Amino acid sequence: MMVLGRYKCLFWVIIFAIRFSEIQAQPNLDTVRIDSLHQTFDKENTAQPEPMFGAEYERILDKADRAFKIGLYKQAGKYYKEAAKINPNSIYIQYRLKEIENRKSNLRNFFFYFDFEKPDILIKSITYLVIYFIASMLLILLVILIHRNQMDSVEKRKQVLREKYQSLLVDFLFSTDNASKVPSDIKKIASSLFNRRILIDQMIDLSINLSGETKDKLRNLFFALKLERDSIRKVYNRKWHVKVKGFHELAFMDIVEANDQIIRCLQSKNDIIRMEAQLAMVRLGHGDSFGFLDHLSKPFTLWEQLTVYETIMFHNLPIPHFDRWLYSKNKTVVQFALRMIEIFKQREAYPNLFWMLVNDDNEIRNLTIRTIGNLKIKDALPHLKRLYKNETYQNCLAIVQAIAKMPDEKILHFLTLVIDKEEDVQLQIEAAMAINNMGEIGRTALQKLLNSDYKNYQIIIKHVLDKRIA
Amino acid sequence: MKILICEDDLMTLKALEHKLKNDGYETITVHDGKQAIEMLNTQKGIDLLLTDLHMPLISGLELISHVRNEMKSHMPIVMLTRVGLEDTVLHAFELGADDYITKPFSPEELSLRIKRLLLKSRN
Repeated sequence: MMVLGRYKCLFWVIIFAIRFSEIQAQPNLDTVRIDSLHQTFDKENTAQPEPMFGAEYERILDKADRAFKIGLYKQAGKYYKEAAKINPNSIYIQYRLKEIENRKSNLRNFFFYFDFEKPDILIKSITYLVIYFIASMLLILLVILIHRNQMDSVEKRKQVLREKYQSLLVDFLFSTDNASKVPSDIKKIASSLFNRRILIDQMIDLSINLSGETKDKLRNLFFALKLERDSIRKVYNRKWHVKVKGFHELAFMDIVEANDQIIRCLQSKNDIIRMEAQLAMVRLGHGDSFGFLDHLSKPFTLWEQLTVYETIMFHNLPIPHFDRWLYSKNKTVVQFALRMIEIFKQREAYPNLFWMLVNDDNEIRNLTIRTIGNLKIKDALPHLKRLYKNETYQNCLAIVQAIAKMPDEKILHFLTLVIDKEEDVQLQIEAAMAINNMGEIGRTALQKLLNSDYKNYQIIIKHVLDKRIA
Repeated sequence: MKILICEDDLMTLKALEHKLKNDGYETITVHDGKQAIEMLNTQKGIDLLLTDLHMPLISGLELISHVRNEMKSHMPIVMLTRVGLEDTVLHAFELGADDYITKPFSPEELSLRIKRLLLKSRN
């Protein structure tokens, strides 16, 4: 395309050069004074000398000649025709008009016939559009430049203020002076909205890594400067990022005044608002950190569950009895409760877990079976055995795996039946492994099965008994 | 007593510096492990190293390893770490760290731990 473009340019340059040389090469016609031509023609027509037609005629003829010379043939033609009205017998004018017609019809002239005097609508529109776009571009560039400069200067100002406030805050926090007295420097900062925002950011940054008396002192300063009003206002803001910032500030400063609004945000369509509201409520729950689960109707995603769990661990929050949420209408909340019961080893939740084994939802049953297995609740073994018959394949697998985690001789017969009756290899392997986990009794049972010569599961048992694999 | 504080978070660094200065220690502050190594090589008489574990360029673990294995120094080392990084803390202890404190931390508690370690190393 580039090469083509270059050739195109070259073509136009050549055409212009030809056109220019053509104009230059016509001195005889274009530069010859009218008088000499007149004379020439007059000499030929001595019998009828051309009369003088006055100054107006000469002026029109001059204009026509000038236009002809610079290639404005349409204009030239117009003037020659005007002149011809005054002197219809002029051979010179007729010659010029004929020449104009010739040039117009000439192929080269066809390309170079620009009528700049009366541009048509298309040329006019394009010209205006080009001017408009160039002007817009310049304007936009100017706006961007001004905006960037403004941003740079604001950022520089912020950086200076940040460093200043950091020093002020650290001085205040570690000074031995009266803690309840707010220094006038900091009070002054809090009077301006711009400065207050930077001050709040610095206080939150500091509060993240501090605890104990120092954190309390920082919190008291936050209240003394009435900065909590700004944070609460942010929670009610329509912009999501401002809202989230408000949640953070309230959570870190332990301000519960806006809890109602945060609870409302738990049902937000915006995933980020919802997750941040959950995290804020975990921190601001005060004895009931997970109370927000009662209000949660939207799905509690795995990522949100993980983030909440991380928050509990990071801030060392009190752990509630999670079986409280096993009967929640929100399936994802039930799943979260099951996971937490397993992680925090809440074995006392078994009576409620038992009912989850007969839950209508397949996934909840599966998770319950796994939780029971990981918690090694042996009381559940007879129930798991009973459920096996009517369960889905995945849940059957989960049952056998759960049984394997709590080896019990009482279940040996059931597992032997699984190996014997099931046709699925995975189930057979899991059952054999469960028997193997029972120790000597299990291994003897497997050996016995291995010796029976009318079944084809020997290879599975050999695989399980292979010590290199275990 | 001279303490080298190595922490990439500027706000925490300032807070630590201020607190330890208030307690009467001389402090040197650096933002990453690389600067800390340079400082340990050039500055003499550093009595204790207080370092964050997660830092740019050279991590806290690498710094501890450098102090114990390359410099063969026995200066007390206190780590600053986050909750839930038990494995990293154990690894740091294996490398030769003396104590650790988790963020968010109480400056008062940190001060006491440092005091105790310095007393122990002097004895």
